[in-house]
Amino acid sequence: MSGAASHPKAGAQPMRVANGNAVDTSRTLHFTFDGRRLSGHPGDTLASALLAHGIHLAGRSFKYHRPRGILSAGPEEPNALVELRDGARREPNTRATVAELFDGLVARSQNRWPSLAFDALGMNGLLSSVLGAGFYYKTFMWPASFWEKVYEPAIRRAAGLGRAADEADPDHYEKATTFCDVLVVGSGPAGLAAALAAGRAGARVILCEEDSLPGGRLRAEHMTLDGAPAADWVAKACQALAAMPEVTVMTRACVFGTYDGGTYGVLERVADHKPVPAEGEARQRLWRIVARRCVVATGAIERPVVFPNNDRPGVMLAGAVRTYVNRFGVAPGRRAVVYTCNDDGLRTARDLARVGVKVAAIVDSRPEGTGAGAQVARDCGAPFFAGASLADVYGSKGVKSVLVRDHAGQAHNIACDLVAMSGGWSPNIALTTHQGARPDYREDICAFVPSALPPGMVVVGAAAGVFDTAEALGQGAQAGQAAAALCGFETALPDLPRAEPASYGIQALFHALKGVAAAKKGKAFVDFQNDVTARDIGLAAHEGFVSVEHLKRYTTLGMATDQGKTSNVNALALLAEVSERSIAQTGTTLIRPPTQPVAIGALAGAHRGPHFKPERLPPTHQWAMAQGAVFTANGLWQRAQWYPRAGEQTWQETVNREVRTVREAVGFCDVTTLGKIDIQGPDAAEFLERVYVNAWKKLPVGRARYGLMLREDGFAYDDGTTARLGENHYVMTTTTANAGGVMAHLEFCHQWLWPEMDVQFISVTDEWAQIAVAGPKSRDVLRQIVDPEYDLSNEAFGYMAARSVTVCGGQEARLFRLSFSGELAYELAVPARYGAALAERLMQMGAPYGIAPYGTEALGVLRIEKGHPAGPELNGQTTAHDLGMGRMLSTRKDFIGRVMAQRPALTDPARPTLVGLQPLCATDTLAAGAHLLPQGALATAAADQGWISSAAWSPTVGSWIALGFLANGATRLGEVVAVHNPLAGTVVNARVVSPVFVDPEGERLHG
Amino acid sequence: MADKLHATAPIGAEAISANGLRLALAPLAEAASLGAFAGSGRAELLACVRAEFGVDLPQTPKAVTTADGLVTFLWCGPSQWLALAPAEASGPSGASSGGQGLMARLRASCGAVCALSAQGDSRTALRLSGPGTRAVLSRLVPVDLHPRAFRAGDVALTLAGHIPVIVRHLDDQPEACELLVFRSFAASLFHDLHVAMTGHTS
Repeated sequence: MSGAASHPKAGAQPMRVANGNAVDTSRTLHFTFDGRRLSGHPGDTLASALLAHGIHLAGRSFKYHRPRGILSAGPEEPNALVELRDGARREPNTRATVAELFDGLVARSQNRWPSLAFDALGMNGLLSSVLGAGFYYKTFMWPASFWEKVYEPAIRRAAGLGRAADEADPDHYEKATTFCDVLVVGSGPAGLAAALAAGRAGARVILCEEDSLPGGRLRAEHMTLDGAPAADWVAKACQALAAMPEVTVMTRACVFGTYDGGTYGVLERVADHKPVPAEGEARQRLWRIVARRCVVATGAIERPVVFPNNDRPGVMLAGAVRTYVNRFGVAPGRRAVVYTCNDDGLRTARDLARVGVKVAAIVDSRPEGTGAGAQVARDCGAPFFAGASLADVYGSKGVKSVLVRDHAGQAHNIACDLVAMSGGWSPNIALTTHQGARPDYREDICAFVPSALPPGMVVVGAAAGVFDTAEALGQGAQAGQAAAALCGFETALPDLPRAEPASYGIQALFHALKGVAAAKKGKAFVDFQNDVTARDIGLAAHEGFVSVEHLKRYTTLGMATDQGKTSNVNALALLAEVSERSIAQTGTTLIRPPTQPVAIGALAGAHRGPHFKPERLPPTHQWAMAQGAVFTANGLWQRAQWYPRAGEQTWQETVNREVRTVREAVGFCDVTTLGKIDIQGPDAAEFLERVYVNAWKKLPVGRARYGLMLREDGFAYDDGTTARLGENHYVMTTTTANAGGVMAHLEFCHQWLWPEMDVQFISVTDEWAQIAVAGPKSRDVLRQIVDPEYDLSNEAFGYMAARSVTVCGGQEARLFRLSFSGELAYELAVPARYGAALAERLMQMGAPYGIAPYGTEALGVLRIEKGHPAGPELNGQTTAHDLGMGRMLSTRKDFIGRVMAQRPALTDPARPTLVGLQPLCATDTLAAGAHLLPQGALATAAADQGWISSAAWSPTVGSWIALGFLANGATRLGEVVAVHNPLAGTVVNARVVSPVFVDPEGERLHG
Repeated sequence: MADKLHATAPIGAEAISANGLRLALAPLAEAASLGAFAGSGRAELLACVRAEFGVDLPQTPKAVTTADGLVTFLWCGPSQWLALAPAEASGPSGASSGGQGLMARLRASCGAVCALSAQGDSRTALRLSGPGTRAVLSRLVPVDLHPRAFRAGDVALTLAGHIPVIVRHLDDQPEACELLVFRSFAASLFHDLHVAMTGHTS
């Protein structure tokens, strides 16, 4: 690598001191940070580009607004959260360490006001005594009404987490599912070796790497494989994988969760690294990967060390410093102090020295004579402090010097602008714990490792606590080979490259404080993102929060978007120390998915806006559109609500006209949406007997009957008519809302309760366009439609008749004489493809009779006028008795719900039962949901006697009318009750009447 | 008597071609569901279908097509099948028969041993074809579509997003699949497939 002096861009990016293995310095990209124009190169992250300019200060902390720098070089970053892009694509809380640089990137720091360097709320640090552990619970308790109006807005402003875009997200997101034999998570040495082994066996392999480039630490470390730079071997391995047809390597793809049955959630950041996604390209894609085996090779996350002012900008993880040097060619400082408890941290001194950074001191917490510190210090020409610690860091917006306390307790002030710290590595085991397994603590490596694993999963490499590269390669290859073999693909192990041996030699170092609770001078941070200090942990423990679960919630430790990736183990160690337990005894909290933040947009995929749910369109939909109908959603169905005509000023006017048309002439309405279930078989009649409350065996062929179904618990479930089309052939109708549920109910009854019954069901809802033709002129119109050989006279085809007919010159159809409106009415069904044509024909043939289509609103008015229960009455809380159908319950047979319907509470005569209500003043509005009270009673729950379920203006009665449920309702006809609508604040007096407002004798429908 | 009623297609949209893929309606002339009655009905149904159509009803999620290409039987549940007669199917003579008379043939040959229901208007068939068909479908359908797992003749009863579908793999050269969907959902499924093909939301 070249030194600083030889680098051509040194002037523009003073800290770009070498050629990183992932950066293309031949091209320059421009970006802005807080309005300042800066440059970088393809391959940079926002963090590496900022560091190339010597910029550490990237944000302010969440609670104390302390200046914060870049801590890490990966997704575990707690500090450098920034706002990216502008306008509708503006995105807050993006980690600068994973945001790939592109030309024109606009980035802003967040959580600062008015500027990053000077922040007015920085004084929060002075208030820290009240902002300590549990401050929410202690401070904002009283008065309760202050929470929404005062406290919460103030806290939100102070703890700003960036601004979401105001506009709708303009990008497209996808969801997809794929399957494989072996899923390999992570492309470091262990992951690549696993993928090579499984792939060469012929197994279907998917290798997911969350980074933009494969390689993991092989790119971050100055190391060789087979005597060449490790990155060269990564390239060769990727070429080999690319040549295997059943292997897919996905980069920018984070496996964020382990789910049941070998299912893994994966977020692929398809176009996050581009200014705008390409034409037709998704911004992100959410994968559901179903894998027979999974090899987790997710590496490890380095721990910071807890010491006073360890959050100063310029204090970084040692491994991250090496990543910036080796991968990006960026020196994060000019004078560095390396602070470590293990040999791995010492590599940092060598890497820094190699690119010309002065190593001002190596501070090794291990006693003299352990580890390789002395040798490394000699090689780098650096002062060496064994058995020493960092006691403080100076420089509020960037490190200026550190206070080293040597093994004898002597203090040394050492000038520097970079601190590279290593508390050792924590295996990244999140995916292994998503199903509830608590990890085990290993004293020898001072870290948690996976315990019980989800089915089909193995863990290899650093994620399994194996920190030696050669060992990780070997373990990965064997795991890949074994995983493929378990899927039926045998192979020999691939050739693996030779790796240099490396020592680790860790000795526990979680903090450098004299005592956790005694930490007085200078804040020593445990959780950077949520501003939790060692003192907070001491305080929480002192107040009795000694369970890790309590500690987490009381202090908010590990609850930020980084999920405590860099803080959890240190916190446990501190808690263990103050509560005088071992770390193993203290235990750890569980890690839940997702391991990385996942945008809601990715979870929604293409299902957003009007396409959030699919729509079901009835056969006359296009025709109704052409008529100018207004539509309403009925579940997924789109139904015509009313058909406005020129000159009509309000929807009420239209609906009144449609109702009058049906009462006085003839109207028609598409009722295809009602569920239709074809039931056939020798036991069909017996089956109906068991699912309906009423009798069916005597229903003759060619007739239909109203039926009511109960749930097993005795409450009413659904109703409809069922027609007998043949000896063993019925067609059942259900309500639109319950069509799917009734079908499932019938299947359950047949498959589970009575498998011996010989009966078959299938939905024919979509097969038939079914149109209700209602009104005194309906027979006259149908006479023009139904072929003449069919006699439609009242004698030949009376009320509740049902038969196959032909229409319009031989078209097969089904005709039912059913009435929901109370008028002479029919339902005519034709194969769905002819539904629109039938509507046209009805309009044409019905014109002389004054025909008009009507929508669901008029349908509702007509059935309320007639007292027919519908969804609002069959609401799951009403019984047959409540609905006035108690006498339908057969006593001569068993049926679903019979026994439970006899419970005293369900047969109590005082239960609210179905009544009609009519206001004393016709124009007083009645509203569904209003409560029924005795006149003059206070509007209390104790006085409540019922409610209104459906209400409408009735043009036929010339008054508002309603259906409702009233205690002892059947005995109270004529009584006046108070209708209380607490939403509108109104009380209306209404008379209790029969629920049948129109034609109570039923003469019209028999006419 | 007035003129006969004219048929309306389940969706108004034209066929779509994008990125080498084509999405189009594959109209059904007729379709019927078969539900075998209990007892010996199932074995008898197999025999009746074999005698009349010359094929064995599949016992797993698969499709079989008669030698004359006019009728396809799909497994769609224990003792349940769908018989499809596509409008464009052509017999050995090359003449388009349109499958007319499927229900009549079924009634005559096996009406006594199974429940038969007309389904030709209940279901809409959409055909997606061209290189990348599997990749497009994987954006909607959560089943393994890999050539090792889903071959020509294989059938899956599943969901495309939120919409129930029966997916049938037609061929690999070129890749082609058919999706059977309830007619009322056809417009939404067509839209969702269009989005999956092009990445556009409209």
